[in-house]
Amino acid sequence: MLKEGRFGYKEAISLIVISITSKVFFTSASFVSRLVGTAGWYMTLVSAAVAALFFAFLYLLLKRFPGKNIMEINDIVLGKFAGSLLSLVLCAFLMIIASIDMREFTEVLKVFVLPESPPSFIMVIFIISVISLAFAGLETLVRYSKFLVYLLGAGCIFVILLSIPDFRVYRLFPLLGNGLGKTIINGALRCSFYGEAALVGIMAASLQGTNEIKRIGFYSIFISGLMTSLCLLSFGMVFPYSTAQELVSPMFAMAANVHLGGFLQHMEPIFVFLWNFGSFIEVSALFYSAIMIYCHVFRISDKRPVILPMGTLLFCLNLFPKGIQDVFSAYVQTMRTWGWVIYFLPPVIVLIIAVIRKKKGAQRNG
Amino acid sequence: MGKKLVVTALVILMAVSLTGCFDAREIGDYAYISMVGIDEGVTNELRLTFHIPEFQVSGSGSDSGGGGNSNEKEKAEKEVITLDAPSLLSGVSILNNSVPKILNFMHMKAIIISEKMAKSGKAGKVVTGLMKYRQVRGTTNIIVCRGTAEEFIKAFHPYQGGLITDSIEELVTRAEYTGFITNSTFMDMYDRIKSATSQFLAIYGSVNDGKNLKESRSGEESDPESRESGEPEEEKPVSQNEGYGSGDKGRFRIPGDYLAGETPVKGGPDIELFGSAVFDGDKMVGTLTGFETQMVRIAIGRLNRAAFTIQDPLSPDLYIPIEVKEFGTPKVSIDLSGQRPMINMELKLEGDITSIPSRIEYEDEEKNRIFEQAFEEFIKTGLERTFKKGQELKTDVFDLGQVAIKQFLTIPEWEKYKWKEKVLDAELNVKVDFIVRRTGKTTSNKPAK
Repeated sequence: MLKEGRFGYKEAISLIVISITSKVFFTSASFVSRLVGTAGWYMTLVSAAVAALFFAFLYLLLKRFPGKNIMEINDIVLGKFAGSLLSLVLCAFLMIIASIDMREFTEVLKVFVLPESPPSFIMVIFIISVISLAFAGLETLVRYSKFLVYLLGAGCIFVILLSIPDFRVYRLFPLLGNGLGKTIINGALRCSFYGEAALVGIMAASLQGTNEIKRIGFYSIFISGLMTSLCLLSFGMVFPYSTAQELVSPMFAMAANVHLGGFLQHMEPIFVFLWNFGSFIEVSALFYSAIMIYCHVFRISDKRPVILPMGTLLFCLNLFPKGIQDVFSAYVQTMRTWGWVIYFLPPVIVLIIAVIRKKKGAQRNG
Repeated sequence: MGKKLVVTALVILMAVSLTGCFDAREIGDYAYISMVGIDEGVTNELRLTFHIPEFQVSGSGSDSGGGGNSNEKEKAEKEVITLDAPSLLSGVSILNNSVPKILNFMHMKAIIISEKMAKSGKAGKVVTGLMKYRQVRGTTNIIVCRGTAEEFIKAFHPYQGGLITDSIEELVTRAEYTGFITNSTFMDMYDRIKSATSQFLAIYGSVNDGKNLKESRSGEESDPESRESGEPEEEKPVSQNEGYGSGDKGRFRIPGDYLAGETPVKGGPDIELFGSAVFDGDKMVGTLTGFETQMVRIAIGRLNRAAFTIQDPLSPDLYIPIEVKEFGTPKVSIDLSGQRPMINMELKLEGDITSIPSRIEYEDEEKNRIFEQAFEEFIKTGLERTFKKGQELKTDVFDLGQVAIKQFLTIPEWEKYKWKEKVLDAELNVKVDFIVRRTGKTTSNKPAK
């Protein structure tokens, strides 16, 4: 039987930071340029601030029910049926997000690195890895994330440093992009970019108390916000807004443009490494969280029998989009813009209901 | 037992599927294209010329493209392939039927566009279309050539052996120390032809057959035959000393005030890169000489080091060569409050005098100042001339839009202002501050007795 185990805040922060920031390597960055022009680098800070605000509600809810995860709290506050229904919605949503992110990864990988490989081949290999990690359990996943986060962070910073000769500050002007109003509205709506912070609620029982939850959530959003902003700022200085909004992966294009003398060229393989591991952790985290919710709702104590069927489901969901345009302009952007409705809104509603119905968990010492 | 079986099956599956042996490709399976030429097609939309160097094992005698032997012509013919096709991808498909290797653009160093194609605007469309092509790198150089791209590529051989890819890279890198050409990459072209802020300057190249080097002074009145090799010129070469206040209509011509194909050079490589092709959007609208390109580089703060020669201010029949570099980035301010943008540019240059043929003691403080002022005037006039030429070509060659954009808060406001139109009426005020730092190996220069 798989046990979630317990782990520290560094592991949890690593998992959430990787899950959030790996999205900036794909199509989102150029879509942000399309929405707000040159203001993308601080628009994401608006998103992070809004996500932190939403996370505060989640934290208050988890604090009200110490030692419980969000699925248990849903059951307590809304009753088993309604609570399970809400949890199932979140489960389905996480599966959809995982599949879209994975399809985005597949499509981008096919465009840049493996043009001759069939997408299903890339997906199967990817899913086998995700399933293997799911069998190893949540604790392995977070510890693996902690191991990778330093490598990924260093790789990302390295690519940015190598691109410094291509930086042109004037490309960040006009500073307000398409207008301050648009930046704030889009920034607030796109708080879903930081939606993975809500996974803290799902894995709350494995964490060391509510103070740790607060620390993990806010730090994760803060670090991810800074990293995302830094990436957007860098590519904003490398590409003018007219070009940035057309690129499939501006960060990849930035790495491919590195040309420092005769020896430091063709640096994009570093970036492919970042892509692979970042996406792998992100999809695994979402997939495992979905399994946790599913098993909770249907009171399945051993998750292993569920992993393979859920993996198959993930593969099938991957086949829905027709192609990269479908993934890019329909699925990904819809989820980035409206994902917060599922990620962040239910905890707010559940908290309000808990307060009204005076539902509260047993208080623990310390 | 079951677990062991699953693990074994997984290991076998991964060993078979992930190693990719069944369709593995080795480096020798590819033919790496070093240059692509784009001309107007005769039997189809485009005439494409591919340069596919033959790479040999190092130390086997001669490397790629290295000439000097009797097989050179045959080798060149094998390495350069020309065909008519509607698009680059179809050209590659056609070529893949005769070349028994997979054509690969990952190491392509230059895209050569004929001037005719560039002026028609078709090249801009074809080249920017390549952005979707994953193998074409943003760092690939863009060269607009006089005559046809096919001729240019055929004439391009590595100098003194070596790899042709190195030769292209070296040629472009060396320009950092002459300033006669710009840095123009594929990514740059893509960015700039769509930009409301900057316009694109490409490297201008040509085959130089050596006819410009006159054998006698009587031939100074431009030999029309030698001038008219290649494309008909639209722009007259810059007149001698024009605008520099000397009144001397002698042989002196500002070094670098040539376009590619016009330099008085004989021997050496058959091709040269000199000056810039100026684009307005995706259409080439004119050229800048090497000297004017130097002025562009000074104005945008990208002149590492360059050699200039000016008339001796106290002995106008003689000339002083000087090595110049910028210290500090140019300070540019633009006043947009009036009807016409008012541009103020402040430049700081320093230089070393490398020779004083007149033996006038410019090391002396007073005379030194006279020399510095003469050079300041020389650069000022050069900048004004280049800016004016840019305006005549309806372009912002000094990238002043990159400064003006900072005064706008939003993109719609900036685009509504229409900088590219406004800059045509702009007024430029240049202030050059030049300091002679060193005067070579001697500290004084006494006249001969």
